Amino acid sequence: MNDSTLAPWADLVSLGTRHAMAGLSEMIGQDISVSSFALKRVAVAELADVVGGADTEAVGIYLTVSGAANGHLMLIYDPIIAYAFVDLLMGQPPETTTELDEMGRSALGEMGNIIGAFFLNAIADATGLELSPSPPAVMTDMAGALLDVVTADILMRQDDTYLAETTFSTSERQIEGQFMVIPSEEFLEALLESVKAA
Amino acid sequence: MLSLGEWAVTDDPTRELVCLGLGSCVAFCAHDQATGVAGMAHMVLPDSTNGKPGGAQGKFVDLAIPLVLKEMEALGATRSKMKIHLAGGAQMLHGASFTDTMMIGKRNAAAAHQVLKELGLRISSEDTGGESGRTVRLAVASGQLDVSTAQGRLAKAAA
Repeated sequence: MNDSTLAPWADLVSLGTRHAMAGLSEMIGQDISVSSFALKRVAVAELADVVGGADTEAVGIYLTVSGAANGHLMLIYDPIIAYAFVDLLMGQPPETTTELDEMGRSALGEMGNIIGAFFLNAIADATGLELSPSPPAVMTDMAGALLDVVTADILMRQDDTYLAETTFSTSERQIEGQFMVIPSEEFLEALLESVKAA
Repeated sequence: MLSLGEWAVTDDPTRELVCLGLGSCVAFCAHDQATGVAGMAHMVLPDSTNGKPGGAQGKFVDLAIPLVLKEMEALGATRSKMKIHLAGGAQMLHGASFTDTMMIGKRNAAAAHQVLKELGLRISSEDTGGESGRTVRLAVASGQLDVSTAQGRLAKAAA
């Protein structure tokens, strides 16, 4: 697969991401601006470098995609950023949250639900493919360990993957987050096929 | 430092072999005291026969272990004298919707046991399973193995 065949995929992910951010914006009642969006081909073994190294502590919100095709959605943050999200989601003053308790976990899970549903609905509407997200898993651990959840599945079939990276911030607070969409080759093919057919 | 699917073999006593942030992945570590040869593999999947052929061989447990052993022998190590350690293979995900993915850690560890049993090799120490990621370090000179978790690190920092 070369870069030109990827253009429709980049468009779809960009569309899905805009919808996901709109959903998140609705949820927290604040505007969200997307400051950067990039689609990269990366070696699966190097994914951990994208999030600051394999043994850096991180908070991951993970959903699987199933239906017409399978894929992975992972939101991965520095714990400080994740705590900031919890404050934002729960309407608390900044720096209220200093560790992740059950409440914070479920707030982040809810955020994963919203982002996943908006993202997949937008792609489903554009392609006619039926795609559904799993309930989210919220995990705190070393980034490499979190990513293993995704990489083991991807490496079963391929050594490279396409990573969509989005950086966004809210109007009132500077919170930069990464939203990673990691499709399997099969997921990409199904999407590109549906775009061709449309 | 070994990323996913990589392996290394060395007799350089100044080196340390490291796998950072293992989740469901398993580190195979071997050390031969007499010759000072050490080896490590960062293994991702249990079985090469289920994956597409080609690509990085080191990602599969059934291929990586024999590869490391062979390269260690090429440096003069003796298989029967090696101290062998396994670490990793955690279960990172919970919940009914993740049944397939969450078994990978357990399957990786089980595959390593199977491969070593077939080769007639004994495991000296093992730290697998559980729900936490691990960082594994093997000092080439001494053969000393250090396994740490994110929680362990926090506890150390707080003490």
